[in-house]
Amino acid sequence: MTDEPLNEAPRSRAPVVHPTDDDLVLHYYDETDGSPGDVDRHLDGCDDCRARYVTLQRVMAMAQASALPQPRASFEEELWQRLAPAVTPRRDWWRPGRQRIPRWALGAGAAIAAGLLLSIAPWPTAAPRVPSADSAEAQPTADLLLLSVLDVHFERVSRLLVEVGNGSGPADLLRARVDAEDLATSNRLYHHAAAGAGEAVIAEVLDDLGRALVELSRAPAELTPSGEARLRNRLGPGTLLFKVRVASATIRQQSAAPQPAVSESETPS
Amino acid sequence: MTSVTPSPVRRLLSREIQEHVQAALEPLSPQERAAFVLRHYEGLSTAEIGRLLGLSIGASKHSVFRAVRKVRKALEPLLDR
Repeated sequence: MTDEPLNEAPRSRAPVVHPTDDDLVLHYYDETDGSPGDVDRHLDGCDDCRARYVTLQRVMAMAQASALPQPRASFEEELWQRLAPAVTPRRDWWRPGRQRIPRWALGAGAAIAAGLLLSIAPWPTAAPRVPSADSAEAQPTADLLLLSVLDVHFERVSRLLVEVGNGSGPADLLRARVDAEDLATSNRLYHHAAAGAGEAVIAEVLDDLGRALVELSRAPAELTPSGEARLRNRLGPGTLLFKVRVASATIRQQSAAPQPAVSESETPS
Repeated sequence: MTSVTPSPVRRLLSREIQEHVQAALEPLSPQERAAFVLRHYEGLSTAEIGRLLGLSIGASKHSVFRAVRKVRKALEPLLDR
């Protein structure tokens, strides 16, 4: 390593301070505590640290290239096992009229969601919601199912927002428009259900999402590059995605809260 | 026009890397895994991750650090292949 200290003037006799592995991780993610320039200057003059950083970059690029981890093969089965006791007695709860049964939510959507949903769960510190006796006993099955479906819906929307933010070119945006139209329809349904269930915070997030999804689904087919960039910037990862993440975390907590057992009288004969 | 389709060998290697990444993430604690996924794949800052997971920024960073160490340990042997 060179004798050039990280944060000292060249003529200082202070000992050389090499960035730790954690410092390099922060630098890689542009979250260096001090000035990123200090780390860059040190890396320029220190062969060993530069080699360590290059190795870190290569490993992280490898992890990035593999994209989000795939869901476990057993994910869908695990989700069903979690839901089955509550779902079975009221199988028709989510079948009003032509509304789409969230098969996609438990299939494709669940697969997309799995990497994060099950990877992230359990959210460790947020205080679990304690349902009131009245609300918990009134419709535990409906609540659980709504929450589970919303959980997957939020993940699907999150994925779309990330893709919009990170994508490029009209073809990407065209696919996103189609997905947004699909999700906007589901979103309206869930918004109605959440509002009806008294989930005001969730309903508000769904309302915000609905506007974003409609905007995306109605985006002109021919966008100028600057118009496309503005749209991606407005709808991509940011405040909206953060809200969705928080709502998703809330839902997970609510889903994890003990559900009262379904009485025999509720079981269809 | 030159084909940009990955070769079978390349695809096989990609799949192997993906399996190694998944294997590397398996032993992480839920908190470490969440922090890594949100930081590395979702691009959230450690401050945002801390807010989302109810952690201090320091705890959020350390979750990321621990996760990165484990991922590196699993993936570094693949670098020279």
